[in-house]
Amino acid sequence: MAGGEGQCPSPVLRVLALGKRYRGASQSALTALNLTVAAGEIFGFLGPNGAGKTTAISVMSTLLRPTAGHVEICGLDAFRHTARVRRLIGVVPQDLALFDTLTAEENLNYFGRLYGLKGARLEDAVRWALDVTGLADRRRDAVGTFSGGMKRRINLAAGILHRPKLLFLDEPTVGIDAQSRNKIMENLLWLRDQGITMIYTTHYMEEVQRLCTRIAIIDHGVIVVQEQTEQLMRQHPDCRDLGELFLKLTGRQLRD
Amino acid sequence: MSKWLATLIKEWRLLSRDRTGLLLLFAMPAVLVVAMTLVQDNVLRRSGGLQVTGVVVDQDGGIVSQQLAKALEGCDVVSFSSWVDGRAATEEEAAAWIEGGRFQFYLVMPKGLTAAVEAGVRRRVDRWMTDADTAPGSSPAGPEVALRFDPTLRHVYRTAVEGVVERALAGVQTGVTLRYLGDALDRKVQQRIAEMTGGYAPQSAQRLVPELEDDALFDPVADVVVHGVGMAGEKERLPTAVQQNVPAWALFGMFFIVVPLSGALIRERREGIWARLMVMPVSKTVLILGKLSAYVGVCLVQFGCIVLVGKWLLPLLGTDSFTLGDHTGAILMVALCSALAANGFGLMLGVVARTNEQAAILGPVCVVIAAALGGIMVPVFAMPGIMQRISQGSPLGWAHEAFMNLLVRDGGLCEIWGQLALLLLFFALTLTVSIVVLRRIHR
Repeated sequence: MAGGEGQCPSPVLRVLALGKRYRGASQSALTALNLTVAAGEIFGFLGPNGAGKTTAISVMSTLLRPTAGHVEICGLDAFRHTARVRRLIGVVPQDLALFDTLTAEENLNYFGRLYGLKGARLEDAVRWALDVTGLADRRRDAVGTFSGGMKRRINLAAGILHRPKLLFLDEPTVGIDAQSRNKIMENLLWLRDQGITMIYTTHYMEEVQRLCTRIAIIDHGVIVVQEQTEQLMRQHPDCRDLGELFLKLTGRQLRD
Repeated sequence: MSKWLATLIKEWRLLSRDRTGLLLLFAMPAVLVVAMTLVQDNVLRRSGGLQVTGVVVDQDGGIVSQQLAKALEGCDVVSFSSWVDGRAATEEEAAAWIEGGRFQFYLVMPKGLTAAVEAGVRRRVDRWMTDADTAPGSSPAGPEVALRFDPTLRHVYRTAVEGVVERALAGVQTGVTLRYLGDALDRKVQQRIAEMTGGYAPQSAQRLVPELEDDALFDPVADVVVHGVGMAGEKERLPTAVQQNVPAWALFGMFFIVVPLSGALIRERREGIWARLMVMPVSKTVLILGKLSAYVGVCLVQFGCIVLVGKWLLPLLGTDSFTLGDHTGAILMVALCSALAANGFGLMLGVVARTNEQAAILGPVCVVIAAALGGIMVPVFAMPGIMQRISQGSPLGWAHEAFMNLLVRDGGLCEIWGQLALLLLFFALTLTVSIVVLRRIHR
């Protein structure tokens, strides 16, 4: 069953007291994380390097198991109903997780098959994903021949192929030019309007301000603040923009 | 089923676009099997199969040397030539031919051999007739029939040549001995009769003791008959270079699947593809089975290609054709179990190794060591004792032994079930390790 079918009750994502400690680590990577994301939101997840963003995304997307707490997606326990939950979610990882020697179409066909799509439904899904990301005319070209921006777009296409209810995006615009980044953000706003809820992590504050209705800032595995973007800015009138606010809340010290 | 098939097709697509991988998997074993077969084809013909060749230098020219040369020229296993390029060879020429590699040894029958043998035999027989001491050491030293070998000729071949020459020389000496003995016995019997009758019995014109023929030597009472150790008992195929090398190097090539398989896995882990797959609604088992199926299929295609090289290409280069015999099904079973073992190892390496460099070194080194231990390059029986014991742990050794049982010893499934079981056990073990490690990665 593709993720696009059926309704998903709100909140789409509920995280309760989530904790994660890696084997052999002296400290927890996540501690008592609480999060709720309503349908149709683009939820920004910010934090300095090593704060726990990728760990949080990895646990919420069922890649890693938590050491404590609970994740619910569309009302389903993510770790009791993993197969069903994975049909409802999509992931756009930070790595360009694609087969370079396969064409764009071949990559999407393969991922689509793993989502349970076949025949005409698979063809439609692949065509739709390539159209959304503006890569229809490059469908038969090997991904290895794409520019950085194109690879990011096909990476996005692979995550939305099955029209998930909830999409996790881990720094989807890293290393690309402004035009490609703009295109991706336009795609994400359009996808939000199509009913896809998103969890979005990035280091680019202008992206957060443009896309995210609510944000959470995480540091040392703990959520420091969680609020609507505009409300947060009003609470800190001394900060000119979100970047300054971020530095105010997380400090200016380098995170090596 | 659909997800497994999609993974299998994806793997084949990826591999078909990896030119270096294809060269390694198909061209390398084909080149190896051709090169090694052509190199070894002559060696095996000179060892267990066909002839070692040598020159006979006759400096004597007498009846003994003529009989010896005739006995040697009739030999099947070792070839002796008295006439080379239409004339009798000299010792200097023979030595030069050995140095140049034209022959592997030469035999010198010294001047005076016949006279010395006849004199020695007559002395011995006369001593028997007079009941004198006949211990071998009591006679003066006999003439020396010298054998000179090419220094590179292996000991096993020298032993064979020495055995043939000693047997022929013993036969010739026995013939001479029997002739003198017959005459001496006849004289002795007539003398004793004359003594017993006080000289009144007339000397018999006819012989009282018949002439002793050479039949006693050449028509023995008990015979040595050589049987093969073939399991079917009826048919025995010669262990030619082709029959040995085609399956051996096919196995070697198949086990090199560890390089592309482990490389693909490491690449997927490092580039985030594996993490992407882990959050999709597909189980690790399906992904692994799809990958394994694809690569096992490639191994079987490899095996088929090398068999075709053995059947069609090698005969064009002057060797025998590779023969599958009557056990095609069993041969395919061995190929399949070998492919599973190879791919299990490749999977384990891909999961355990952290970088492509680690896998690219560890994989081939392990395969080469296992091949050497398994008797692919040097027969196991020729190794030192401790190495023979270690070689019993080589998966390539198990597979090679199974092939030899089928292709050379004409065995069947009953004779190879042990090796098949070991290969499958190896596959199960490596697969288990891979799954355990994979589960721990994403805990």
